[in-house]
Amino acid sequence: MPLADVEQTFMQCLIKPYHDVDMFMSKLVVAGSLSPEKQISIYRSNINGAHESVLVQIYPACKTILGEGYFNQLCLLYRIQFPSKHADLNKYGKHFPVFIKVFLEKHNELQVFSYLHDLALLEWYWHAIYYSSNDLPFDFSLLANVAKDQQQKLVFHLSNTVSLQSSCYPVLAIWDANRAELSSEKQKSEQSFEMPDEEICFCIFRDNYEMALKELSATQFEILQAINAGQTLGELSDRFGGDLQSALNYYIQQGWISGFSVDEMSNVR
Amino acid sequence: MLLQEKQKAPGPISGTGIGLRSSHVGEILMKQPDIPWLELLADNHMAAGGLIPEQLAAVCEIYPVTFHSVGLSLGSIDPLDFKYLGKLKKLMRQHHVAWLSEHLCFTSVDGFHSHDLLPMPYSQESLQHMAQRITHVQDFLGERILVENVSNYMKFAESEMDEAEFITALAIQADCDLLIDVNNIYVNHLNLGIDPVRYIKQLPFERVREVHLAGYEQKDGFVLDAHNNPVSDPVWDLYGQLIQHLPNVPVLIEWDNDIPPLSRLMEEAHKADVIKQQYRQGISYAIS
Repeated sequence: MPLADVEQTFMQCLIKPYHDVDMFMSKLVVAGSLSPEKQISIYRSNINGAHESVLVQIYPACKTILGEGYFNQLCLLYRIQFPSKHADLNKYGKHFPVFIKVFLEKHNELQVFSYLHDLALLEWYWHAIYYSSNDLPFDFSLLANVAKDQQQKLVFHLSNTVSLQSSCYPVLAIWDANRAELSSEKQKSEQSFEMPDEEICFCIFRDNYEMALKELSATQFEILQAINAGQTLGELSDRFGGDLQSALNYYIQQGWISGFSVDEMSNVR
Repeated sequence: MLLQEKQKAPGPISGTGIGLRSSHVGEILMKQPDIPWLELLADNHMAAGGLIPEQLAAVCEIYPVTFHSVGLSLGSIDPLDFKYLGKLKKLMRQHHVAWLSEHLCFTSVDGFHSHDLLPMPYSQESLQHMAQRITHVQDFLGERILVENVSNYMKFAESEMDEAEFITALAIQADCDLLIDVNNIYVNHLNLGIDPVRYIKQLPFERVREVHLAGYEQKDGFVLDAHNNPVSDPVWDLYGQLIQHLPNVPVLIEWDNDIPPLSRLMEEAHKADVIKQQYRQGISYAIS
């Protein structure tokens, strides 16, 4: 069997736990105490364990809520549907929130966990932003040099270290209560959360080296969303009027806005 | 400021170092313990921003550092990932990393990543293929890399040589250096029945530039190279046999799971030094 076939068949055995291993197994021989079946099972177990531990690390609250056994089953299903396509293990788990969403839609008995997609998304942002690239500080001197007739065409850029999220569930309280392992099942069963009257809005960001989260008013959130959508300063002014000036100052001060460009032109920073 | 103050300049890689893991970074930077050198898992320090690049820079200002990577997938039939390699090269130049070591395995194929060290048949085809890829990597980096023997839980019917023959031929064909993990040899002895003493005797000692020591875990019907235990007595014995041929080789203590306090790792490193010293003295005595 050529090397290419060996590697491809081996990988298929690993990324598809129910894959027929007979063809690959015929290329293996008993070695010491290890039968060919055992040899394959060791690698399957190693890989499953490694991927599962990454998901446990990224999604601690989801794991606490679902319980270890159920969460581990989901991890296995996730690995089958989304085998790792990136050398960086920190990127494994990116699709877990979408996977959860689809899984919940298919299983009516899990409707009590309908908030899990939002919770998983929060946990993913919290993880991913920790590793995201740094932005340079906002350059006010460049902003001062923008010609008056260009100012309305300014497009501000949201920092790499900020993500926006909203939810109709009390997802922040749920996250806060479940990030660490609960000391007992009783504690877990006693949890109750009130549904918010309106959608909660927040941003997850990196403040220097520390991760942080801040709740936002609906207007603050809409402004940030509009900035993220690439609306120009002129469009933002028309839409948000007097709320805009202080909001922009605050976002720049917080490091949530990292730069700007003018209209369709490339970034002038 | 991550450092209290810069106390020493990085020197050459010698003596017994420690594989630095994230749980010890704070202590390393604050206390700057007397450890001759550190090996960093390169893949864990390639984050684009945040604390990790800052920590890497700070550590490299104090200690001599080597990189150990798992993402090059040297045995894979996929094209080499020059983007990844480019990042490695940039970090190595930026932080004066002494050398890069990788593994005798593949980790990815067809774009799928196992994140595990997967063995290959020890065939002429594998040998030619891997030697060629190592040559490309070394040409790109402008320096030799070290290739490490791995713990292997599989034996291919198509293997045409044993692992010691394979890694020796590879080092010669690719003109690369070797990192010999003594625990991996012993794990392969327990699981696959290889002769560890014969393995060591076959090695091209002139190419062995680093030695790894770690602990394994007894599992159901096999032992796992889990790096979660002290170095076992039989591995210390094998280490003693190896360093008779390599009295000055840099040695590294690896401990990746159930990680103990840094002081415990330093005890293991001290033991490695003592054993090496005993062999040196033994040799001197025999000569005198």
